Amino acid sequence: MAEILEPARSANGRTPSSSTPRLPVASGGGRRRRPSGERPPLPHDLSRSGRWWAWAACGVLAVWLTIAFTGLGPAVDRVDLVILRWIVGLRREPLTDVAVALQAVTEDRVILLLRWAALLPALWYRRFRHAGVFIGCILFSTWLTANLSYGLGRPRPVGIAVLGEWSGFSHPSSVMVDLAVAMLGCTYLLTPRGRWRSYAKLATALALAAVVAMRLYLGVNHPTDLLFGTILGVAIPLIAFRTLVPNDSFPITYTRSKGAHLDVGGLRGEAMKRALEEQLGLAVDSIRPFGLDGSAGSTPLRITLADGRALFGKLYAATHLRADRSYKLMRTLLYGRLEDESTFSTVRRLVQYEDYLLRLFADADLPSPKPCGFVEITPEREYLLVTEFFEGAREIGDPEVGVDEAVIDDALLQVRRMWQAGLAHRDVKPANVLVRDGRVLLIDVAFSEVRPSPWRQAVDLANMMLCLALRTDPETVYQRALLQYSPDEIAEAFAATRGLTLTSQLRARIREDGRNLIDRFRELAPPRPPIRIQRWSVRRIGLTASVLVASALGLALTIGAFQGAKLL
Amino acid sequence: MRLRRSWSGQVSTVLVAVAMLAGGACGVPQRQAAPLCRLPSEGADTLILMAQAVPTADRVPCVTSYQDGWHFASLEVRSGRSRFTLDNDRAGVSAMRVEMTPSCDTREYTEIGSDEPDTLRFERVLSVEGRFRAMRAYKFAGGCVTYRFQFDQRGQALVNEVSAMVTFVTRDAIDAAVRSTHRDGIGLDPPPAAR
Repeated sequence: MAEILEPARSANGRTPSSSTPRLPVASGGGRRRRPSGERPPLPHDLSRSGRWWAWAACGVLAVWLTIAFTGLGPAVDRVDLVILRWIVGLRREPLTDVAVALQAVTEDRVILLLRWAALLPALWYRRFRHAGVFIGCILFSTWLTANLSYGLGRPRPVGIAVLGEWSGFSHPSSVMVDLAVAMLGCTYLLTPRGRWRSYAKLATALALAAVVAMRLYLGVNHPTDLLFGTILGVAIPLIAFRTLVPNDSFPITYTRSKGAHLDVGGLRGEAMKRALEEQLGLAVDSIRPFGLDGSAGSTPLRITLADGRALFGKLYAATHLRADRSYKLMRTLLYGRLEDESTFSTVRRLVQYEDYLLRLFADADLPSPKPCGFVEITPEREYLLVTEFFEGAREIGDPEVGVDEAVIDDALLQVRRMWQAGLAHRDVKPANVLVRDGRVLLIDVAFSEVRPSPWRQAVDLANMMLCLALRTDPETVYQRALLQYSPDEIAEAFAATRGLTLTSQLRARIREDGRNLIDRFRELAPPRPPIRIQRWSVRRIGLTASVLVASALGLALTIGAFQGAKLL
Repeated sequence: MRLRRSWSGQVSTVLVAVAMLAGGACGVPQRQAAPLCRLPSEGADTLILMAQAVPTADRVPCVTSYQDGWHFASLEVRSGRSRFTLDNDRAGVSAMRVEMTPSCDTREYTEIGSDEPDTLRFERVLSVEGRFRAMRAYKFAGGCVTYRFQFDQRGQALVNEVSAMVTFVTRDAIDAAVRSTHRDGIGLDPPPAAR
């Protein structure tokens, strides 16, 4: 066995990996337990206006039930007709001409145009979730209105000259429902939160009010038809958008940023500061995105404390949980169950697991960031994981970082130490291997595994050697590796290396580099048959078939949904 | 101490309840909207709506009772036109379509004696081999009702069943039903001065 190098010691005689940073604590602040019933730092709710519309929709339901069980329908009709006859009494020739012309804005083709005007930009900017929610709102509101109108079966106003065009039973007004859903769809799919969205809401309110006035004047609907139709048409999309695509998690932006990177300004930023103070006792000065280019599974942050020191944060939300599930499903479909592909059931468990791994790495004295804990931003939805910040460390791929034999030895040593600790990093790539003062640091242990398979351990070694070779050459890296690993171990590492085993960043860097590094390492190492990574099983075949069937059904349903929403 | 629950969960529950109340079984609400000739109660709202669709028509088509194998399928009423369809277990889906409009073109029809009072009846047979396809039109004051027969099998007997099933109710009868419901002098149509 090759001699195992001991890690170099720093000036104070302590190894870098064994120094533990003191957890900064807020002075005069301190932790505080949130009592039961108190809202979390970033509450996930409908907000005041959303609750108002939700209660209004409940009120509509209550009125229907009251009428159904008490027979108050004729009384409501009488009140409606009194109001309507007063309005109709105001008819004048010029006004009538205007009202008849205004009907054009409620035609089916205008509604269709509004729907596509909302959908096309959403699809272009890959806001598929928003688009799906909008189509769902259209389908649900159309179905609900159709069933209600047939079930309630209210004719058009009697005893009044109806001057406008109409279709179907009168209650609830399907025109108001369709128009409100379409206009709110435009508001929530097109406008960012803030001034523009406020303008859009005002325009929607004015447009709906004008249509209500027009339809009353023309005698096409009773007042309650329009009122209830408006309430339903506003409440359905409002509740759907605020519940299923809340702006904090799915902001409307017009930049092509990664879906994983959440907006950390505004309410969320304040909520994070409050959570850090109350739950970890940290006095925070600022929180800013950091290193976004190299991350795809969370929102990385630099947390600057009031005393000037820095911590590193990773913000996790439901989007990351879904991305993790999709990634594991694709891996299982493409390659079978290679190792632990179990998904996390909640965001909390996802973050808990990474916190646990950080503590394992710390306990094993590996050069990874020391954990500081994690805080709850929105229960079961958003959490912020906090760790040590490696001030002054740079990615090994940075051309200004010197990669000499000492760095190569240290990097290879860390892989050996992970083997000895029964850990595998599983995401060794240039972005996750840092160098500071000639020492190698490993970050982002979220994908790590405890008691990994021998195959995974071998892949870690291969990926590290490839990272090192990108900055030097395979021959040098191989020679240094022989000081710590046997030729068979190195041969095993590259026998296990396939497209899947390389991270996407590593694969891209090798392609840019142009040298055939993997083949060169295989030439240097003893020959060894490739290690098969395709794992076929009944489960994989069944899962693949299920996904294909579900995809076909999903496509058919999507086409059907578009047709049902009269978008095709 | 009340536990705070997620608003989204509460609202979703309410909306689902609304959907369940409103939806019911697929198609049931539409069948409840069938235009039955049973004034002033059953089917009155549908007849009122159909009468409102063609304000000039002095009568409206309706279904007296369903013959064996026939059932109501769909209703579509809009200003200027009303239409409903009937399915038959032998003749197929939309075997019979009844449509009322202010007027209709009967130039290619043959006039025959009418079985409905105060109406003129016209017939036109389009196909008898294989699928049976034919049209029938009733013209009356202020309106026209056309029957479209489309049977999967030869259908003379089925045509006779339709003749027994579908008839007319007068506008005056509908107006009387409206007046009896509102009891404050409001009828189906606006007073003559207001038209």
